[in-house]
Amino acid sequence: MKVTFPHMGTIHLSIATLLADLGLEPVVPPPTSRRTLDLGVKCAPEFACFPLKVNLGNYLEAIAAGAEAILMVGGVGPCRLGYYAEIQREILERLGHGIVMVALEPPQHRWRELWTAVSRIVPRKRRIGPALLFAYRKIKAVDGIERLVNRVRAHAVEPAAAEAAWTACQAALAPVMDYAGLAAAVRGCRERLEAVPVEADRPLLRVELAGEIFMVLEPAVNFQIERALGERGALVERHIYLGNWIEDQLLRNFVSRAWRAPIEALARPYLGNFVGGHGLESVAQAVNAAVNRVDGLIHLAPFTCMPEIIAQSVLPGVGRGLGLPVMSLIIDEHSAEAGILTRIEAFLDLLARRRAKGNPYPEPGLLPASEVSCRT
Amino acid sequence: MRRVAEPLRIGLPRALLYYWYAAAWETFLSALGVRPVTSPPTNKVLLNLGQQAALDEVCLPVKLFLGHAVHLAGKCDALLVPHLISLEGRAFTCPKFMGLPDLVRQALPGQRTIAVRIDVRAGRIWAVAAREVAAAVGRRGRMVAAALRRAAAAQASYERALRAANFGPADGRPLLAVLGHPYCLYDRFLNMNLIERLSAAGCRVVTPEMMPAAAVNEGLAALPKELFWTFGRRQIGVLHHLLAAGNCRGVVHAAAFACGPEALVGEMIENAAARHRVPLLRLNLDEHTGEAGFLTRIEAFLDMIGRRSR
Repeated sequence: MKVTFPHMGTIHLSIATLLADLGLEPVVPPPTSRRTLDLGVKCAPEFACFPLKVNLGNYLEAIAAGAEAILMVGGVGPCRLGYYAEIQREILERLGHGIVMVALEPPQHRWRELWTAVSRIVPRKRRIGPALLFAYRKIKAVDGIERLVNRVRAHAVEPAAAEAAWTACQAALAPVMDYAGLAAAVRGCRERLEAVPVEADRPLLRVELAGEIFMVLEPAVNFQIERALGERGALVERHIYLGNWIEDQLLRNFVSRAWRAPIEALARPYLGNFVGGHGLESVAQAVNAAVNRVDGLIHLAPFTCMPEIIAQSVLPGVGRGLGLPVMSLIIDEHSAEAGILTRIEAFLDLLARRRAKGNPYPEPGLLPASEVSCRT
Repeated sequence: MRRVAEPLRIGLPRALLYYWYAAAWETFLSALGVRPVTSPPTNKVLLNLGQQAALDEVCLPVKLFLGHAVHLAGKCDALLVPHLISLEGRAFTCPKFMGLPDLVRQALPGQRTIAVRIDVRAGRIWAVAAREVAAAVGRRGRMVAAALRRAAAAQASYERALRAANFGPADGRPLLAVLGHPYCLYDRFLNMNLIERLSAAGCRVVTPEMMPAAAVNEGLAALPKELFWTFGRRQIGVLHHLLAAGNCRGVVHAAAFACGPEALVGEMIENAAARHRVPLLRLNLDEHTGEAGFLTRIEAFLDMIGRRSR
């Protein structure tokens, strides 16, 4: 059976492998483009969150390429992601596409139904455990390469060389389906990236990237912000990685909730509880960045994203209290690259000037308005 | 325990779920011997205060809440801020509700707030939160239990009255399902007197609050996946129940601009109305809406319903 899935950063490298491993035929949607957005925006509710619309665009392009089923995640709210699969299925049905939607719901819910849905389409049921484990390992390996890519980008003498190396790495990782191949591919990627000429002691601004996971991980919707920042002399750091997200989902469901204690403790002075999605994490990451004397934080969110609106509302308090410049970028289908780049450049200017003054801690009660919030 | 010559004043913003729980909170606070100070009905001044206190991105109902809160800030000893995370077993309210006390604290640093935290999913039911509120105003023991009983009775009586509003005589007036979050349906400033206008035009209005829980659950039974927002569940349950009963002549869905859950629930309402071939009017409530355009759309919708029945 031909199965597709939505794009989100580098997830396709591992999900395609997973599906092939299970005896299914993966249909990787074409890379997300302006056309993808247009397709999705046309048939989605206007105020649905942006990722839902992008997903739909991916599905429609994949269906045109022959996909018969969709693999998607579910959820239990309050973030809307939990109901994406259901709404997307209704929209596709309304458009006349009789597609099978397999939504992976969190395990504490409806085990039997999940198993029924999965076993209905998976030929190689015995491979499910090992295939999932390999996909997870591959995701972690790709995450590791991505971390290295951001460091290379920031130090590269020639930005284009860094991008070319990363593209080659992705091409090398895509077909890998076993552990030996994975180890070899990872070695090859590291060599490729380490061969890029760099200026090792270039003074760099450290910028933390935080916010809603889809906007942070998918370059096609965030205007390739990591590349843009790297080219402009900023070292991008983030705590949002696919592998971490999967671990969060599993830990939250199987192990105790105590692992969340550090996140809750960091955010507590500004946001006292879970608000869905990644809202609390965004605040915690901002506090963590401030405490670790990062130069600035860029907060990404789709328009109308509820948890991130809460985070965005309290981030100025974090910025003022802990002396961290924060810029929130609210993005949707109407956002334009020029606007985003202008703001990024202005923000980096601000950070460079503060760095030149020694990144002063704020005087109590006397603080520069260091927060720029905008939707372009 | 605080010795006061006059009772402690507790600010109660007339916004968000005030429209569901006013009876309970006002009764509870009065029975404890403190004085609830309620803000006036929403008006332009409160809207402006709210817009200044909140980010642009925040939805209008929460902006209004902040406006009411700012208005009350100087007029009370402590501000009651509902922290309603979940009101039933497997559903949430909304992330905005979950972050509300922190939004208020950002907007009003230095204002004493009493957060009423209800999280039924985690076992924090009304009685637990109410006792904390009582303790925060210096009341304990039997007085609190008595106050709780009176509040529960007042709330039950209010809910009965709401449901009774539905069971008018079956007099041939067209029945309209008017759906939306309670603050969108009952804040007359926010919805420009929507329900009055529909009633005055000769329609029988049924809102989610007017239907009993059994009807809601029956309507929800057919959903392929459980909906995890309380307000959405009520609307969908009531809608399916009325559509199945077959006497619904039109659906009006009033939602705040850029409301997250309503974007998806609205899609479900639209699909359900289309499947049953019942006219649907979707009203977008925001701070810029002009009355004339609003009224024109309502009149056109009522005309259409009138034409279809002939």
